[in-house]
Amino acid sequence: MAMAKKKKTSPKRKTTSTAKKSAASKSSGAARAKPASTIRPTTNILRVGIDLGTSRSAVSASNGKREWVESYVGWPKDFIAEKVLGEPILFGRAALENRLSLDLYRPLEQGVIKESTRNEEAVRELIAHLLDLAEVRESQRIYAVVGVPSESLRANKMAIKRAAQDFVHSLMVVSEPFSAAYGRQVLNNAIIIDMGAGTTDFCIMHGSMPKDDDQRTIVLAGDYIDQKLFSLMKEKYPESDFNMNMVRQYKERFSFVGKPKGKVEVEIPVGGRIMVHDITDEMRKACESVVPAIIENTMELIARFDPEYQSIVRENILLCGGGSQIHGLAKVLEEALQEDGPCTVTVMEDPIFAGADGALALAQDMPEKYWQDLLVEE
Amino acid sequence: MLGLTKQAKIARNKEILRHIYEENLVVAGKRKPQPAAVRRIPAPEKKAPRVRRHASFYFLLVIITAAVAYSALITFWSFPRNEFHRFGDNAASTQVAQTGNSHANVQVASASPVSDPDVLTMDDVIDSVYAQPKPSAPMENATPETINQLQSLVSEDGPSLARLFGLSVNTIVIDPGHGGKDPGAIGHMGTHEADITLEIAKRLRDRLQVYDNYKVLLTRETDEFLSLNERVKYANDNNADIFISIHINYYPGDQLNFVETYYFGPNSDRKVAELAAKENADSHYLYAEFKEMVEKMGDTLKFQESKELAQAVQESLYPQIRKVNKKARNHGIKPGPFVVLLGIDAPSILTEVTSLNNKQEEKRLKSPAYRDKIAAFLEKGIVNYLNKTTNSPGGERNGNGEEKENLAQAKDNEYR
Repeated sequence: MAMAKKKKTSPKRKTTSTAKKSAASKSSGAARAKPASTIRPTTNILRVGIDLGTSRSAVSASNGKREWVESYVGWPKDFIAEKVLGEPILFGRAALENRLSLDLYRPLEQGVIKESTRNEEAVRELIAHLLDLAEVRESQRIYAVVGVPSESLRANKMAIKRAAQDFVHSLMVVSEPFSAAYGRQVLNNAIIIDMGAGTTDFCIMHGSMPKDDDQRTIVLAGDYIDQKLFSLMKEKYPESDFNMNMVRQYKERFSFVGKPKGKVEVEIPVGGRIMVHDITDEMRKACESVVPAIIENTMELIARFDPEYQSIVRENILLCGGGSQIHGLAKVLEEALQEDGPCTVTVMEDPIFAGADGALALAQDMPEKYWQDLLVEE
Repeated sequence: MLGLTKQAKIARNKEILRHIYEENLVVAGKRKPQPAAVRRIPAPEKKAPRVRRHASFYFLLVIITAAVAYSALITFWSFPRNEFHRFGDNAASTQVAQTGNSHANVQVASASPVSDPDVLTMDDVIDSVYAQPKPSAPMENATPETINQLQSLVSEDGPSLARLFGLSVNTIVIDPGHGGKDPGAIGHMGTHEADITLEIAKRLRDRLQVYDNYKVLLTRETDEFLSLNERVKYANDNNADIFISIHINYYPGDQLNFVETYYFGPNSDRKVAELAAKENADSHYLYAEFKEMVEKMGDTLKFQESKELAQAVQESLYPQIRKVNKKARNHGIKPGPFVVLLGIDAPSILTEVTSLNNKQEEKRLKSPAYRDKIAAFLEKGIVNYLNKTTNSPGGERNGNGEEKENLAQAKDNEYR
């Protein structure tokens, strides 16, 4: 059935529309068509902010376009698959749904681009796709700021540059937690916790550009929770037939820490029969497995501030990234940190777009001269 | 501290933006500019090479390379021992730092020394070059730099045989695909692939001839039919040093646009085989002749050089086409059993420069300016390949280097 549908409309279009639908349903109502900064009335230059994430990638453009897509890239396995799918490449949900016909890549792992030509190619195609989603006009020049996980910025600077430079006229790369902070103008006496799929990045903001020492990365993040949940479920339901992709979807729908809103029940086949499984405890245990490390790192970073300002910083802890959508996470962190004094942990508004919006804000504020100096050599 | 004035915030943001800019200058490999700095376009490091490359020379090269690798390894063994221990310890420490696994040190320390190197065979020697440096190897005291250098002599990622021996190019043969009774692909508006490939080829020839050092030949100058073996014979008779066959893709539908480049080499991919079957249709080769050509696939030098040429051309071509046509997709480089690639003694590629089924692209291809652009993209790729070849130790360089650099600079500006 799905294949028959795909013949009518190209999967690529479906990818876009899927991304749009998902964005509309998953992010807050303000997610669509709300650029981070004022749209510049000019011109033939399109400024673009891209958040290149392990799990999701997002784009915000100065023409008002904002889209996100899951960071999957798939090439048809053979000519037949290509003919059936009708596209030479699929992205995001469409790629995931057709993964059996595809060589599927999720090019970032633990915050860095996996080392292989094909993964680098996947990053290139992902960036190209995000620019397609931003509806760049053919005559437009593109000035792009690409936000990447802190670890990726350290390890893959050149690879990211190579991946993006084919499609843009001028390019800058920044760390993702910083771009999120810039977008919200939380630049002073604050801690940004960006919990993605591959890594959780911490960034201290003290009124200037954060240095390496001001940033910290741990690999306890979304993917770790997926693996933990998978193990716990396998332990409890050894006969049930589920895979990592299903587990990831359960997490995205039901993740929580602290008190549950209700029972988490999912339908999983057992010997070919669909059975309801209660995974409430497993979900809580998996999600809470990352909490101690986050608390520990946050406290260490608070302690790095001048003692005079530590009480201010404690009131200014921001969560962003996909992990911030774990229900109750901000509250649990806040309660744990309050044991040492008053503390406020806030989830950034529209966390999926926080990085891309911030990157766009940087792109828009960056003087033209800087862009000219960084023109990509053709 | 909390209540920054508006001016203070602006100043802070400016400072942050400047920091990002400076960091990215470093990433981009550009110097930190002075206040009134103007963007400087770096000139290509070297220009046109010229040393002949003959098919009959290849076998000799492989023999010499093996001998060089062997003697390098013998030299390698003679290095003092403690240097290698240091390297081994460093590697182990790194592993500990990354994994937190203290067993790494234990593994290194417990490795045993090896036997008498005199009894090793050539296979052992080659294996030891390809393998990770082991504490047990007889070349225990080589530095990491030395190990890398020696490994690069024979590894796939190292310099090619051509660079190793400073070979270069004299004759370039360009093959405009199809022609005469074989129009090739026909676009939705009736554009013939054969016409486009011929014009691009002519423009490419004109561009390459500016460099003076190359004899640039076309397999056909007019809209005439040439069988593939006639093309192959022409290239071989003229001692081609590199061979570039220009084609234009055609896929079902009016949207797809793939840019891809094939190089001499085996490929089991079904899609490539289908395309090869299509492009090989007019080969006029006998089975025995074809079989002989396939056997030539063992030719290491030709394979390496063809791949490098394909890489250079694709890297120049695709990003540029992509800028003009956002729907263009990079199908990369791949080996393919095309007759024109197999039969020619020299490194050879077949490039599908764009796709004629894409209506927008067909419109653009009608414009001479666009055809010239494609020729320029191909030229840039070929020049990049040639420069790579001469950047080698032992690579030859033209006498009037300065003049050539100026020409390359001017050319580089033109591509923009």
